[in-house]
Amino acid sequence: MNNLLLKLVFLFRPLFEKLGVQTHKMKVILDAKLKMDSRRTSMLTRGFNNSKKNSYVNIITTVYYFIMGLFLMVVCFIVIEDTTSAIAIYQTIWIILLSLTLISDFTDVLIDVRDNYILLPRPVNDRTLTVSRIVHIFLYLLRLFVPFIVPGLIFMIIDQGILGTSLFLIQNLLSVVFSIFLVNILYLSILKYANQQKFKEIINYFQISFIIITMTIYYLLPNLIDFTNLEGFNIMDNTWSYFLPGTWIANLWALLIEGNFAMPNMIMAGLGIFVPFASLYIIIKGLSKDFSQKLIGIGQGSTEVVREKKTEKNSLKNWWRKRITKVGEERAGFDLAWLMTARSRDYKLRTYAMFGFIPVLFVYFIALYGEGTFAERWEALQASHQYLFLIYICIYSAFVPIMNLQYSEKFKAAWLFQALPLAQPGKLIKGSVKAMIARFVIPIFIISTVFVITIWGMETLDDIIIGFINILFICALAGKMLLKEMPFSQSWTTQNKGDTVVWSFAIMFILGAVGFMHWLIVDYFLIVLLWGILFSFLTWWIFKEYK
Amino acid sequence: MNPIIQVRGLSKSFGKKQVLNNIDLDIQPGQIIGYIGPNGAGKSTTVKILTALDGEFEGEVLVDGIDVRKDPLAVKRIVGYIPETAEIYDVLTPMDFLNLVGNLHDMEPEIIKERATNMLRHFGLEGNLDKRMDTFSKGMKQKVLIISGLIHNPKLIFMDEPLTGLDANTVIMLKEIISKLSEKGKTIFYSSHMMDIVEKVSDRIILINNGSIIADGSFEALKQQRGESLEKVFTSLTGNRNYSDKAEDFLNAFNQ
Repeated sequence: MNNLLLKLVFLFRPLFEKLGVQTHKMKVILDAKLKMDSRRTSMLTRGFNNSKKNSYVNIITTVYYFIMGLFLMVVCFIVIEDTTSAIAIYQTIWIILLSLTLISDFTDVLIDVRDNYILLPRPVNDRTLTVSRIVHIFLYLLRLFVPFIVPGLIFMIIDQGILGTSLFLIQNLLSVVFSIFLVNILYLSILKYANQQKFKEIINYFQISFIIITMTIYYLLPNLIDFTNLEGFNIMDNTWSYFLPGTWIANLWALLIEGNFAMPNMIMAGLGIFVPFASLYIIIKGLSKDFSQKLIGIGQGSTEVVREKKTEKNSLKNWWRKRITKVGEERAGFDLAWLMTARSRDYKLRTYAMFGFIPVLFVYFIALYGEGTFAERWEALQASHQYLFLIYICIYSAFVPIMNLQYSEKFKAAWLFQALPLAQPGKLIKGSVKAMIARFVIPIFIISTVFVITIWGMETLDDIIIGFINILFICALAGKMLLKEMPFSQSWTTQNKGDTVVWSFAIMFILGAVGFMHWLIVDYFLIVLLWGILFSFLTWWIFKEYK
Repeated sequence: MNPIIQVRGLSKSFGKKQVLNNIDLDIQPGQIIGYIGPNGAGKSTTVKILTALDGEFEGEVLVDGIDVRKDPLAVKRIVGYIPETAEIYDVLTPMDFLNLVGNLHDMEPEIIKERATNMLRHFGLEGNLDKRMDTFSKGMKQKVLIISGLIHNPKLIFMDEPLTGLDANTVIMLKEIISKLSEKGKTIFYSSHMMDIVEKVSDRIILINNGSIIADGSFEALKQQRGESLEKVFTSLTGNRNYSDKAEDFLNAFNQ
């Protein structure tokens, strides 16, 4: 497979030579990189101890991309009648998907810091390194997205024949080139202003937002698209679309297949060819030197102090720690969890992304509630008990952070806990759970409360209080049952062991039961009161049992 | 003989911070240079400039008569670089890796294969030629890294803490390799924090602090000026002399 790809790439050897590439060296670099890619995927399995799980993951991603491609194909080509418009939408989404994937998943493919030590000291020119890098990214994306492109191509073959399909394929490739350019520019501009540490942090936030955006689209889009209006949609009717690279590339179709020689189409089609090639030219000619120089800079530790100290005494952390933890192991656990969850990128990526569910669910349960005009829906909403959802939504801000507490990339640093004479390690865990409550649950709960009171008024106050007690109860229970190990002491690859999975389902079930009970008793004040007392006691008791 | 390294008025700054400050340096072929200095003194920056990795500096730097800014590739051709951090494509096997490196140096495939196999064998890695390096220990990776810096038979070799993770036998062997390389006229630029080794290995010691060379000469010469061991010379030039008092203060922290 790799050899075949390389052979295909080197059909362009004369072009590479013209660009000043040392083709022999490019070939060995690509060969090594492709080898690494194909081995890296199987690297994952080492943590799982069985290779079946990995091929399983591969199949799932393949199926996932295939379904996405199928969905996009149906939305574009079957619903929209005008082919150029369909291709425009298709290419635009394709470019977005490619760029986001490049940013979120493949920082290693885009920038491998090891190249600094391995490739740069060798007699290889910048042009060779850049072209190899771009071709490598290109091949990587193509391999990954084959299942995504296939449905569109099949449709094209059936609907338009060979000629149309070839053009469509070329259009897809042009989009890939353009996306690579886009992401390169983004990286270069971030690198210009940030050192390595900050660079990674910024990319981290891109990754988090990528996951959130994907989830939002996944859950909400089917509700929001009005399929009936799409049929007669024509992209050229909308001025905004003139600025989309997807439209430019799509107009090649209008020009070459439909023979539409109107002025706007011609200009767009011209841009569609010109921009991807111009961007390739810019990357290779203009940015090579820059990029290598910047890469060297990445390795160089800057001497500036990364974080200026905030006034420690007045921080939110200190306000809480004094009020909710006892001196000793508990406070140490609180401090550790607070600081680590704020700073370690791996934790943030896996946890903060989950918070993306909160606004999504909010929209789902509140904004999309009822039917009819805004006023009708508002009334229906006020008459409903939807606020219970709003109150319990913030369990998302509790469950995942607590569950993820025991994992870390730097899990080896947990030797510390083994070296320390900890009489009651549970207290440390208790402190870390409390940190999660103070750091994530309470702020989000306060925001929900503001919404609830604004929409439903003060009479929901008893429910809010009961809800809060229940959430604390779930947090305490989750910490007690899920955190079997010291905080940050396990590798992420050991995540989802049988035990934890069972318990997390059990706790989700208990949460459901508690929420349902709440809904049942919502109108009986006395029972609500008794419930509150009982669960406060239970929470207190569970926290006492952390040893 | 022409010097292999000629540096005139080399300065470099990151923003406002002056990292290298008007350095002049001549190094003759066949010398083993012990390049030392405290953290952040500008050691690795100098090495990056001398290996033609970093072209942003002021002054003039010639390596084997070649201007590093005018023809970096020609410089890279004669330089072998063994980096400090054991950065390696560790999903590759040693043979894959050395094949990549050898090809980048335009070596003939047969020669790469033969040399790599022999060198790996001499380091005791003959059983691991085709195993992925992600299972290797730190010392084994370091051995591969050392070979990758030497395989193209460079004139000028830069080593940054090359002994990291190596066992005692390999350390002795590497020291022998270094002195034999120098007998053959190769120049070695050895930077390290381990003073006792630098002291024994080097013909000439260059001490850099705050971007300037503050001592330059054979160990014997430095010893006469500053005290009996390189460690003493180092601390007397770069830091506080009274480390015994400092140690005392450190322990006094218990009394508070």
